[in-house]
Amino acid sequence: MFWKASCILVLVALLSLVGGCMENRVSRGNDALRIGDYARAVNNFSAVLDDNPLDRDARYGLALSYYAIAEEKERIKAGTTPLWERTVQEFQVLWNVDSSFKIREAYSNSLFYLAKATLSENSHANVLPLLERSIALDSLNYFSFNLKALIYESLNRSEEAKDLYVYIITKEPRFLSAYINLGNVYWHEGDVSSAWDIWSMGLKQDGQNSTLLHWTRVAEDSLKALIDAGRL
Amino acid sequence: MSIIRSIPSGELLHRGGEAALYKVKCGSKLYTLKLYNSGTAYDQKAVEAVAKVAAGSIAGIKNTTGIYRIAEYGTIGENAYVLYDYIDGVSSKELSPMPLEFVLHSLRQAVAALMELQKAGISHGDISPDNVFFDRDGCPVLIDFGIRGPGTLKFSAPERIDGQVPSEKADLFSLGTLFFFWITGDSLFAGSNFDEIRDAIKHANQQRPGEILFGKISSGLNIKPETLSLLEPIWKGTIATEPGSRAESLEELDELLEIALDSLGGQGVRLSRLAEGVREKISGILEKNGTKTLEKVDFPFFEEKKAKNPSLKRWILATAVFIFLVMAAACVFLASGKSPSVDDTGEALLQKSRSHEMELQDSVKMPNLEGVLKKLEPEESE
Repeated sequence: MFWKASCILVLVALLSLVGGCMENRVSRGNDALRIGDYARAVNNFSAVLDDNPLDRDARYGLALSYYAIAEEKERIKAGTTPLWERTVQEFQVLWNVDSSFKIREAYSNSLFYLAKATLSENSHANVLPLLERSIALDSLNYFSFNLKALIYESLNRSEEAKDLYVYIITKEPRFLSAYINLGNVYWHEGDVSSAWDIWSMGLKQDGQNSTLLHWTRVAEDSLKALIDAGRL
Repeated sequence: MSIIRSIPSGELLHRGGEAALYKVKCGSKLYTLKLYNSGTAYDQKAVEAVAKVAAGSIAGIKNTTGIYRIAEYGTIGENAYVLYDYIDGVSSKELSPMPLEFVLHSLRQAVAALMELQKAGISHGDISPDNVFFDRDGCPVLIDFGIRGPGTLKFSAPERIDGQVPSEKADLFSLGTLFFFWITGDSLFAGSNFDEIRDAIKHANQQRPGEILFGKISSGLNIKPETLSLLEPIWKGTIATEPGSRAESLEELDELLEIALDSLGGQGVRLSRLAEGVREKISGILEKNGTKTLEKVDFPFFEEKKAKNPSLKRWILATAVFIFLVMAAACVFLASGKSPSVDDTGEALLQKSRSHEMELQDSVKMPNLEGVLKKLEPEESE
């Protein structure tokens, strides 16, 4: 009985030690991720997952590391589609381990980025399913709504695109792109007055935005010209 | 060790002729335990496949959130059981009637989940309002695969009542009856007793769901009469006595649903608003249900693992104390140099990412892509 008990105690001690080491590796991976040492972060999280594929923190850390790597490349305008594919794949696996809201936001963003990267390679690619999934995961991801609306525009579904822009502006009035894009739709339709209204609304949110300043002025000049010509 | 043996008790959710459902907790995780009555059981092959699909462990089959996640299944004592992740939501029976566009969208989600299972050769066999839950996000989750009997009578296909095994065609029929229930809150096949309902189902071809819906509009059903004709292909593809007269497959039904949804213009903002309304309703029902007191039941199988030998008990106690001490020491060690968690890092990363995108959005550089994204900048007027 004594030997049996001793074995159990030794086993528990060993397990605690192994557990401690694994915990340590997650922590080291996390620290590396926070300071931008992504290769080390990936190594640490991967090592933990080799021993325990169900480790939620390591899985999340690995997905975030891939996300950070892809986003870094995104900023220098490098081709990022394979990187976002890998990131989305990792989030998909993570989804089997943890489907909490925290995960949903980052997962949703990855899908948005993947859609954007795919479009940059092939402007005719059908990325709507990616965006639908992104929105389903996080209904507050207005970047996905915005991109979806741009695609609708390209498909001559401008009424639906307008609906989406209005939805974004209603929910997040600081999302300036939606004002620019919505004004743009009206501009294309020849409705200068509505375009001016929308861009002016955007300017109320940020009076320093150069794009909105520029196009509000252009619309203003056009309106004046139309009035002078007696067409308005 | 199996999860079920570590659960001392549960709260009774429902007791039926086939099984009892309990809300149980293991650690901090909530599960639903379906404990079959002695002499009844589930279809082993179906449950095994569903568990694998939910875990994403079958190559070529997408992991889907549209089906419940089975954590464990088997037999304990004389009872078969299935233990699955507790769904924080409400059954579609409680939620119906629901807005038409939302119903079409949700039914497509349910059909998508069924299509994945179909790839593994699994049909549901008992699709009914009780067996589709809606989670807090308003997404449908199918439960209770692997039934051995004919299923819920009012939602069963004629051939299932005749004793045939679950099939894709039978599921198509049940999806049609579910569609009707979700829109109206009433069963398409009604009757005061078993024979009447069975006869109605056997003569399903005589049913005119569109006309019934039209009749219900005058009594308050919120559907525009002009939309009824858009639903006819769906009824035709589902509510038919002969399996061969129904839609070819779940894919075909999905297409019919998509066409109807597109025709209603229900893919955009309106759908989001309707979904928001449904989510509020779900929260309301959950809040109300939360105030109900459920009967607590102690499980006999938990007692089986209790130590009977006093000396073994002492050793277990000593080991537990040892583990506790090790854990406490580890906690002190970790707390002394505690760094932010992976969740904190994720939050910081996402915040940075979204503010970065916002900057890009503001400068209108982010969608600076060919084709579609070029449209971000207004063009000069002529």
